[in-house]
Amino acid sequence: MGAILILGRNEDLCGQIVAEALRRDGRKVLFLPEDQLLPEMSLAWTPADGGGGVRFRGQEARFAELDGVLYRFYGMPLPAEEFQTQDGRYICAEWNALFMAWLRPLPCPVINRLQPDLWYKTRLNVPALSALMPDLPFARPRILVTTRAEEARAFRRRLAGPVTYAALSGSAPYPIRDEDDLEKLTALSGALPLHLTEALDGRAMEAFVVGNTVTLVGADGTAAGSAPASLVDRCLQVGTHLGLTFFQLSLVERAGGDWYCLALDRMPQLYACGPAAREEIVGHLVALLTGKGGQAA
Amino acid sequence: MILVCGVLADGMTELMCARLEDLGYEYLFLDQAQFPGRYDLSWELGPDGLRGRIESPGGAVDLADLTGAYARYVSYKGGPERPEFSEHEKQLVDAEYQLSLMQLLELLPCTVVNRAGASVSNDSKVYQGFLAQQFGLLTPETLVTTDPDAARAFYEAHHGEVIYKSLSGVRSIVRRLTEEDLGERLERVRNCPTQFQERVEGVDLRVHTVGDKVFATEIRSDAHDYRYARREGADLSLEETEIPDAVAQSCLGLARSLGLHLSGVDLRRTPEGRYYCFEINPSPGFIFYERATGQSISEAVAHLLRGTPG
Repeated sequence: MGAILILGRNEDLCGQIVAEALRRDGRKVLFLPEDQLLPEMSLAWTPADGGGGVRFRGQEARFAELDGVLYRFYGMPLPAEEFQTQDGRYICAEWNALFMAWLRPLPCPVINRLQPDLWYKTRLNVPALSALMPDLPFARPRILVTTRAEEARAFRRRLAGPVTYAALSGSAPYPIRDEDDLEKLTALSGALPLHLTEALDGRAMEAFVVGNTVTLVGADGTAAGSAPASLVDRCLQVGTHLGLTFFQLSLVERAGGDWYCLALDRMPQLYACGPAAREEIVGHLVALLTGKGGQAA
Repeated sequence: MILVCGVLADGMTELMCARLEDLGYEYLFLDQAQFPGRYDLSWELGPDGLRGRIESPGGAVDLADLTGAYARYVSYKGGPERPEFSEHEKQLVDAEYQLSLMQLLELLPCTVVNRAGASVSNDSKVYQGFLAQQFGLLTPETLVTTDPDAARAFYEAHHGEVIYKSLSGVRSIVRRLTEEDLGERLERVRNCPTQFQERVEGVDLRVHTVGDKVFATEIRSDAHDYRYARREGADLSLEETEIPDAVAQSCLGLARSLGLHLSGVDLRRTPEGRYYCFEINPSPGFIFYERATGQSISEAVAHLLRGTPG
């Protein structure tokens, strides 16, 4: 049996509990903490034959002997203050370039082996997801992006209901419930583009997709029972299209049974999941990494 | 209608505007140095797809009327001065405006030269090397390492015929690894992975692909990295050339696989007639090659954006 490599951050709960589960299972785990790699990690890789290996704090693994890789690298192997320097940005770019290439030909299961258009996108909002997958098999809320306050007002009037504002580069939505909220927001229109999304009523769910499995988690963090087959099928279509093995879809089930998709996260976090949901998701991840479950890209 | 996004200080943007002008093709220049401020952008994504418009001092353009867009992802510093914002807030605001435009370019149904998403592979040259191999092009033997001893062994194995360069899209000057580098200087690789490659003897070629068209230029220079030949006092000459059809098809296939309507593929032809690929550039500064050879690259791009056969 070879080692399972986990690349990520010490504080990442998902990486932690997957590592614990693998160790309980008797697997050798090599954890590489993203922000502590330099200058202790020694790595050599020959792309032509996939040869080489990695050494870190007394642990070692040859690439050819890896059984699986859980890649939860955030792209910043440096403290934030160093990232602001020219050297810091260069080092980050080089590490990213290395890992993106290195993951591609690995013969073992890799979660996730990323295609280039996802390298820098961790969380995809509706426009980003629509661009990558125009035939997304989910309904989507209406979106407006504008630099004009009057367009934002007209959008809200047309929808005749609440909307949310979120930064295009962020994910936290702010509810815009009434005219007062909207006027406060439009005051920013000279300083920021406004990104408004139709607010949807219905049952909010998070779908955690791991290989061929879907774990539905409700807003309270509890596992919400089996996902309907048609929903599983649609989630898997997204994974296949984007080449993702582990991802999270933020969904809303509306009256009538229509499923709307609000976002995709290719680096799902388990903090908001209750113990049962976590256990189920981690079980699927461990199965994939050890070659016992579905398919890893 | 064609949309051109960029800043006039960028030679490529200026060239494309001039070419469109010359051909009489209608275009809107969105000067990113003046956005926000002189331009407004509104787009909506709904069940009927994308709709919206760009408003400029010269009038409004409906997104549905666009046949093509040419975008240069220049370092973005548009809009009015905002002394009330901290540096961090300014960065966030700039990012928001840039995203409002970039996400639109990703969503536009017309030809976009090139979408940012299609350009990302350029941030990993080794990744691009794998793609090049899929299309039948050779890549030099490579070592990526943070281990000075591994680099020394690679140097020995290739009898000292080794160059080093960046892995990412950050521009670096290609340098030859020398005996002097093997000492203390090489220890620096512990702090940053470095790409070492066998040195491939031969003649450099830049192949520009524009849609289905191929423009090949042969570059002769004494420098290891011809882009810096003049700075290093080395000779440099560029000449239009022909490449075998199989190589041209490889370049086109590579560009298509990445969704690039325009690309600049860096090749080297060995004395034995083998073709090595080093990189595929998604935003090539072809002005340098067009001026030196007279190739009609910008005209081909203009036709592509207009949706008319050139």
